[in-house]
Amino acid sequence: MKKSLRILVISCLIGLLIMSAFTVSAAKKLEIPVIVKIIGIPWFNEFEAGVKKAAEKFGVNAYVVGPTQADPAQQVKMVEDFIAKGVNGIVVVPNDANALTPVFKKAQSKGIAIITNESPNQPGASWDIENIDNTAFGVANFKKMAELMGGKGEFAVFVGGLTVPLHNLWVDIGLDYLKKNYPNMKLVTDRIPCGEDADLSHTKTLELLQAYPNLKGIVSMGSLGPIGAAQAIREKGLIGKFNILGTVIPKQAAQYLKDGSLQYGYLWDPADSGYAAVYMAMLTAQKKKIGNEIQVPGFGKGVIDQKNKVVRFNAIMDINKKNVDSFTF
Amino acid sequence: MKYLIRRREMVVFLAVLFISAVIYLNNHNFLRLENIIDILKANTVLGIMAMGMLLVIIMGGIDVSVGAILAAVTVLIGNFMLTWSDNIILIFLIGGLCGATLGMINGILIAELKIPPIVLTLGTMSIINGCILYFSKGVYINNLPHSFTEFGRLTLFRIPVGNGVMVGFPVQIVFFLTAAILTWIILKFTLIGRGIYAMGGNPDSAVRIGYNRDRITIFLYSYMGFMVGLAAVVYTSIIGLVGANNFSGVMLQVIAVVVLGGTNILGGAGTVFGTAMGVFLMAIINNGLVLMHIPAYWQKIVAGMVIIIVASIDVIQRKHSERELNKVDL
Repeated sequence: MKKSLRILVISCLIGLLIMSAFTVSAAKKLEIPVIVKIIGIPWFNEFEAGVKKAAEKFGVNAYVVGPTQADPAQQVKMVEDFIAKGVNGIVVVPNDANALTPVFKKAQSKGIAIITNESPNQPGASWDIENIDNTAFGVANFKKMAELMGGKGEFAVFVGGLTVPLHNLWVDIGLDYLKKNYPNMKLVTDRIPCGEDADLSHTKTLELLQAYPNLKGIVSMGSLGPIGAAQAIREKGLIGKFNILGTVIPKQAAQYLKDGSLQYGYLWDPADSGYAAVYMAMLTAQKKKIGNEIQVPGFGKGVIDQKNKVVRFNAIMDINKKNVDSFTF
Repeated sequence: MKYLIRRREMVVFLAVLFISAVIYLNNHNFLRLENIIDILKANTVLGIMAMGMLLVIIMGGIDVSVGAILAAVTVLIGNFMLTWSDNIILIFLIGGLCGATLGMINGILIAELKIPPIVLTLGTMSIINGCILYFSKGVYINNLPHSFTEFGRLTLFRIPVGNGVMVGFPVQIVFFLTAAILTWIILKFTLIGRGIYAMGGNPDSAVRIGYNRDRITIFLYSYMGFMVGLAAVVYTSIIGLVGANNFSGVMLQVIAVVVLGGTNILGGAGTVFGTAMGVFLMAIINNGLVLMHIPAYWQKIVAGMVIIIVASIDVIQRKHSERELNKVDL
């Protein structure tokens, strides 16, 4: 019994040795794991497509992992595991910027490049990738609404939640823009937190129509807000008399854009984020010098903010009736 | 009058009337037929699920997996519609059956393993949510058959309300009424209904009288599942798309309206009328706050306060009646 156990242990050890020797010899490629907020949802499936494209194009070993729930603790654990494994760079789309700071610093001290996405001013990261310029994005939404409404009238705003930083930032920027450029646009009530729930947005739109009979438009941040609102408009036979626009996922919004219950959608392509982040991780891991601009092959030009360590691309997608079928997600 | 005030569900009913009056004075649109129908339609899903939850809570149990079952059934019928058939009756049948099956699994495990319902249903909730995410990959289905979305917009008894606009009675409300009447019949006229109250009041004596605890438990959770299945089809018909991960808050709402309607969370007491009133109360608070132009920041605060006030009136009443009971005993 004892003997057979010993043989088993020894053969395991030998196996491990061979395995590790094998990986060392195969590890010529840079290894760049990408940790997303949550795996299995369409948004990050698309993100993964971008990562795969970059892996192929730049010849790196990049792959996507992530928790099944948007859990910061699991992301921290994954970063720890990758530090232990000794990868070249890690791309993270953080669930919680602060929770990740200590492990990011640890990774940096081991010479591992850390790239984040949608987490501006992330402590501990080498670079943060931003696919849109927040000011441009906020203005694009609200300017379009003002144009649709002829520069005057009552409108309402949906956000995913009153504590979602980006949504509220875009709304702040947009409202500020309207105040200066379209002073006759009137926001009827404070922003309503229903933009991530189609059913709730549907109900809230119906209620708003009763409460504010002169309401002419809704701007919604959060991908399901425009959908729920468009359904309400359809139900009330207001197509053509009411304007809705906001962040949407093209496939979800297609039927509403086509029948005119929804006018425009704005978004950026998550695949671009994944693609650019992997490229940036590669450059950083190779210790390439990075100036004030960067040209990402197959994507576009990014502006580099050396002080805040942010790389900005301006890739706002304008989604409308005509082009909605050309998107793959 | 005294009799009316003593009934728990009457407190909720009076609260509904009072709050309606307040909202109406602020905004006359509140009592417009159109708005009332919108409110009813928006809350049918909650109402149907509350009917199932009512029975479970009367028996002293609880089911926190309702949100997960709701999501599971919407995904199932969504795929069913796309791949097999868009026959409405068949869809309802499949929806109800799937829900009932998931509910029955809860019931059998609770009855056989004697695990406290809250722990067990928390477990099944997590399992079901995981399965949904795995099988659906989180993809939304937004190309439901035309016939089904048309069905969702079906209205009965169309009434003109001026300006050539017709307001009809949405088909969804029929399902809520059916669920309420069915639940009422079960509670009022069947042996199982009596057994549910008996079990909730005092399980040991109920078993001694001869009620079969396991059989009632399994029936109850299956019925709960069936109601959720029905609600899932109704929900899909309203919203016209199927998504996997948007029901996390539903279970709290369902439990809240049942308890708000005067049902004893510890079991033994509760009525269909009270639960229906609980649903209305929640519905008009949410609707009314928007109509009264109260900003979103305040809405949750006010909704919470109203719930506490109504519930405390109920508790004060109960204390009062208990005191009277003591007098008789002495």
